[in-house]
Amino acid sequence: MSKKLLVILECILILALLTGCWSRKEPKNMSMVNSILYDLSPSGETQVMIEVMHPTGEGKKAGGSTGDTGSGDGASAPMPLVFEGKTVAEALRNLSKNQDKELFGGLNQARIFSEKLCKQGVGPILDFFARDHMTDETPLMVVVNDDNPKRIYTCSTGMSDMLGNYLSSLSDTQQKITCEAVFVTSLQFFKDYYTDGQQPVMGLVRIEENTESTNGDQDQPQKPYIIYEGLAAFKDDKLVGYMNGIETRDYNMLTNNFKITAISVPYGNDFIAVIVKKANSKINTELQNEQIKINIKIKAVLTIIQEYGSIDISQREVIKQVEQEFNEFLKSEIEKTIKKAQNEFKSDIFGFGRFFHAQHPKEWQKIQENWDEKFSKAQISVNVESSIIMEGEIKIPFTMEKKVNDK
Amino acid sequence: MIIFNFIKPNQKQQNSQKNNSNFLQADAKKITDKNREQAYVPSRISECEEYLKDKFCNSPDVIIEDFETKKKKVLIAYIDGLANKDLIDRDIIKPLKSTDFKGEVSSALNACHTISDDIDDAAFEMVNGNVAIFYEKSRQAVIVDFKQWDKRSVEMPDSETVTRGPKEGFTENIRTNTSLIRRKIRNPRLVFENLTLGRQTNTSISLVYVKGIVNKDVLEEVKSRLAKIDVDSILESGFIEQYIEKNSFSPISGIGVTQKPDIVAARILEGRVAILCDGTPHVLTIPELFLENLHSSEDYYNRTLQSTMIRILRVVGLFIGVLLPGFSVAIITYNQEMIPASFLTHIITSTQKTPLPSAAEAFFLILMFELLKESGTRLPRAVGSAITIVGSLIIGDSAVSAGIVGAPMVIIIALTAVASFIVPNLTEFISIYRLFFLFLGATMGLLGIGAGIVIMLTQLISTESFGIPILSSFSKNEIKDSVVRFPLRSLKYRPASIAKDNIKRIK
Repeated sequence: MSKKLLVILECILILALLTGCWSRKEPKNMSMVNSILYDLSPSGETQVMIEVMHPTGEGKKAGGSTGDTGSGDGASAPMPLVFEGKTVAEALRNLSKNQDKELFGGLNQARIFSEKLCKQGVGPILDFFARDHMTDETPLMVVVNDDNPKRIYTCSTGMSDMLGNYLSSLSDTQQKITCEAVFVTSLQFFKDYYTDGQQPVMGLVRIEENTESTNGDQDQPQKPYIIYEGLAAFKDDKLVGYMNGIETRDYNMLTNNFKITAISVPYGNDFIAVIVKKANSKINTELQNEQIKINIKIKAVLTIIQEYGSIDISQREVIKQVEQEFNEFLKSEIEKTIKKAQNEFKSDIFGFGRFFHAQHPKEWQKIQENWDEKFSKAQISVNVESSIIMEGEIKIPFTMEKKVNDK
Repeated sequence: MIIFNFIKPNQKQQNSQKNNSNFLQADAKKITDKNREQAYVPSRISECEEYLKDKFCNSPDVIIEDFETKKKKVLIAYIDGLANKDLIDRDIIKPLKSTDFKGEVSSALNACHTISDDIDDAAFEMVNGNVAIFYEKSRQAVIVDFKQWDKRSVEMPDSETVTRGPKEGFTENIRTNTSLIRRKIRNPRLVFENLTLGRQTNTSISLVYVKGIVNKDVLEEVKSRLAKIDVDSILESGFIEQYIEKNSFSPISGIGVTQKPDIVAARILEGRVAILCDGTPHVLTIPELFLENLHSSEDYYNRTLQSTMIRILRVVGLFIGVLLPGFSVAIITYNQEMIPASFLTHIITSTQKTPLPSAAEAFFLILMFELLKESGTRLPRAVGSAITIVGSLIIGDSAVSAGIVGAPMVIIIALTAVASFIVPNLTEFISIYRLFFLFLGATMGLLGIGAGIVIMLTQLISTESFGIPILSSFSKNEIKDSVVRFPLRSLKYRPASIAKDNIKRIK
């Protein structure tokens, strides 16, 4: 009997040692945070806006609206309230005074930062994310490029019911179909931030006013909408500038995050639209007389998607020429993009430093401290190789076929 | 105690050899009159008549009649309803009364018979349905086997139904049952060992095995445990099961129960022992490994791929049935971030106006389900279906719309219920462990579930059925017929842990 008792006691002791999440929480007493906006007040305090799911399942429409979740009906949704504090924790504590349910941040979808805050530095806030065990590493990180960032909560949220959901699915989709935006989670930001020779970026949204009125009989002002494009470049924890969509596409190619995009290549007086199906970059770094040389090789796989008629792409030589044109075109675009990072940002967001570190570990020790400076003076050479693997389902251009038949 | 029985050290195998010698002479034959030392039959038949009437307390269904033949006075005694009267008239009374009767009763009968010189023995044969004949000055009783009584014919059993395979099932009559087995295994080495158990009921028990294949250790163990049974009544094989099992508080008995002769035949051909009990169609097979609860006879009649797929499905069903309520309660109340956001939204929305916490909801629904199951089985069939419909409507729809429970929990428990029906043999195991895991999940979250799994596995691993570990199906030699079923052609060996002495099937 005593032996039995001992074993039972042992089991209990082991359980006590392995404490995990002990705080039991009923879902019905929680309110799910969907997105959080961090801003700076004019007096320099941290401002927090929080979007929570209303338990009736109708988004943030807490203000007594009776309509269903239809997209046209969201105008009555109240803006989340703004709370201030010297620190994030204080702001969140002030915010909780208004909440009748316990806030649950485990499934937060987006962390939105204002431009002002980013320029001052997001470090202290990121420290809070990294330190607090209840915050998650999955939310999307975006910067709002707008003078009044709080306006984002009045924007239309597309097919989704809440802004956080909208942003997270928007970023996911955009990276897959246009590749002109970045999908950066908190974890990715932390990784980039902590990696030597790499500077972090965040997603970028801007708010556009909807001036066109679709229905004449509706007096309701149209809601502004969100464009998810480009990226926000950081130097350490401070915002240093933005890249537009095209530049972001090049950024994705250089960091091997590229999925698919369409590019219009000038050819003679016309354009040929190609779909870039694959683009892999290889980066080689050299050190010559204190001067850093970065050789970039990009291999792209293309298919032709649209063509303006003056070019007979059924001929092998023409295809070669198109490839040549594309190589030149992309080369100049990428060079421009890198120049921008070198001259404007002085921040190695592409992570060339990582390659230099791997390829010249000894030299890296010496220049590690002022890598960003070295990077901005580095000599860049870009080499693009492309191959067209498909001309689409027709060979001869649509407009040319007629002429061929007439002959 | 249920859980921690594995801590108990192995009990000593005591007295197993000593009891085997008098195994076949179970001590139930003495009806009354224990003081009488010597067997005897009175020489005068009037004394016999008096003795028997006294013994059966003048019961009206005991027929004792004497008649004169040409040579001798004869007394014939049997129990009405247990013996065939037509045969008695034709084969006993007619030849004895005929003019050819020369005075020797046993040679005059037209029937097989035995001679007994103990009147108590004769009385015991009478309660078994035999006819006892006494005659003047012989001091002997002639026993004729003319048993016949009303019995159920061989029918399809209500459980263990199969779409492919024999449909016949055992009946309440042990003789029919032995013949059903004998018809499956036409081998003279198929052995039936009879004994009688129960001081009041004198129930016939039959041990079945194939000599040369059976695991002798198990056979000895079964015999010694049977010999220890000393009770007044054995009304069903469940009595035997509970008297010979080692740990009454374990959720697994280690003894299989079936109603079908083809299953018994397959089991005893793998080296097992079966116990038939008169008066019940449920036959015990020993030992029973854990995974066999997940097997069906159909697995062997159907082709390999289908059988394997269904077996895997049953394992999944077992895990869902045991773990799902506890696991989901643990996740919902402790680790919400593991739930996809859209589903958590739904959970929050649907539980907004319900009064109970999630664990209580789960418990309430399990309780409802067990109530429904029980009321459905006990009631007459016509009412039973009505109860089920009303109950399921109340559970499924009204409970949600009345705001007692949230819809997601209804779905979780419904899935659990459906999954646990896939392994009907393990109902006891599943329903006990389900509550155990629900408790652990509600109080300790995923940590509790993890600890519970360790406890459950430890118990399963340490449980033995008649000396054979019940998880031995996972050993190297038996894996071919465990969670998967290999083609019959490659199942050349019997389960090595059971048929220790004769593993090769074709021997």
